[in-house]
Amino acid sequence: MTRLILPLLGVIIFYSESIFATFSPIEAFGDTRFLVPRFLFVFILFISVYYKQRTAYIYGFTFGFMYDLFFTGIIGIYMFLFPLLVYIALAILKLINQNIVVVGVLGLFLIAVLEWIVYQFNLLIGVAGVDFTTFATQRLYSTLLFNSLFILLLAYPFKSWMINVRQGEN
Amino acid sequence: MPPFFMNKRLIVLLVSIILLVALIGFSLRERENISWPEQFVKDIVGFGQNIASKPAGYAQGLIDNVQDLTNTYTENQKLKARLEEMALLETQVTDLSRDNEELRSLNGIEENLRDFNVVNATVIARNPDQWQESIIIDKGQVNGIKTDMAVQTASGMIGRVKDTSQFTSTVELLSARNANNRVSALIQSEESNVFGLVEGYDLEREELMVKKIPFDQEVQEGSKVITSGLGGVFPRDLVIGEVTEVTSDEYGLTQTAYVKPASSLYDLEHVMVIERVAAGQDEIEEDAQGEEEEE
Repeated sequence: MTRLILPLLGVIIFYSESIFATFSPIEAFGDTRFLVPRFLFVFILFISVYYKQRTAYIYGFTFGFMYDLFFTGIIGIYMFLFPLLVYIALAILKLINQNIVVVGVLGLFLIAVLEWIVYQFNLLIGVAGVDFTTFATQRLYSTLLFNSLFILLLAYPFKSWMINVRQGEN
Repeated sequence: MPPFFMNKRLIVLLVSIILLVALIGFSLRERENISWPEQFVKDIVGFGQNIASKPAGYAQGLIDNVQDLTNTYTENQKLKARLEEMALLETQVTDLSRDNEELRSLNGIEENLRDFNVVNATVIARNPDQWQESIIIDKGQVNGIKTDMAVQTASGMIGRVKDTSQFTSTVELLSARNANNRVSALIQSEESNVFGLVEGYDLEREELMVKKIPFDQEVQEGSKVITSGLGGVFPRDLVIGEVTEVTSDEYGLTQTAYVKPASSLYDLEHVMVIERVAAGQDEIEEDAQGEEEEE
């Protein structure tokens, strides 16, 4: 039963992203602000840290592939970026103290990196037409704030639940 | 072999980068529709999305209903004022359309650029990363949807079908930055119709740009912009928006009109996919010549 919950949760979070995206963009502080949900990435990051690395890579690859095919139509971006960022996260966490606050902040930092890479890529293929300042004010800050809410709410439940599941399996 | 190549991680990275570039190249190339494995995955993901979006759509509808209730009174006042005009307009429209039909049958013209079929669809998802301005709807090839069909809401045109799978389709909105995203448009001026191309979207103003309008044509602010049907893809008479400003381009040879889209490009729920009935490049060209002679 517990084996099924993890993929199911992944699927729910995958679909919730596009539903949350329908609230965006909003008008706040005199500008249009895009809220880009990156819940799936946070979820995969927590799997890699508190559950199993292997599972995290597989999830990153599979969900990234689905994301690419269904939403963006450009295969490869998220499929490649999710596992890569998980790899970077684990490499950083080897060097520093691993506690939940550090993981949360690292998650936010990597979301910023993810947004930036996706922005650069879209600039390259001509889909994005804004300069970096506009990107930062319209997307980056609001996205980070939005996702930090998600991390604040669910980091602790994720952590304790995943550790529980891992101990149950051993 | 030197130890450099023995590094397993490096090889994995290199191979995946090659694969990545190949896949991106594959998906970015010009193509009519997506391949069948892509359609297959899209259908499976779309099936789940369809289920997931239903309760969310219901909750959204509930909130909208409550919001609507609060401005019922002012809306009612406005609508009452418009009602009398409506009755007059309606009789005129029926009269004119009957007149039009009779004249057409007299001249033996059967096909009309204005004819179209409608498929109603519900928006099930929006691209979460919000770079590609696209939405996903719950109707696909089995419902007769093909690529490049026009998509509109009750208030106006919003985009065109980018790709289809069996049960879902992706719609590219008019606000998307894509050089191929052009709509042949017609600005209804007082004296004559002005033709132009909807090309591009101004992110700052959140307005569409109609370019390539000849400099000697006069375009009034507030004129309505509709599809001309001359591009051979969309039918005629779909409302695009309203002109807010006209400027001349950098060399002063043509003019650019800024057009406020008639329909909001965000917060979309129910859309209509429009299938053009009239077809045939020759006929379209003849029609275009005919209209030019008239002017």
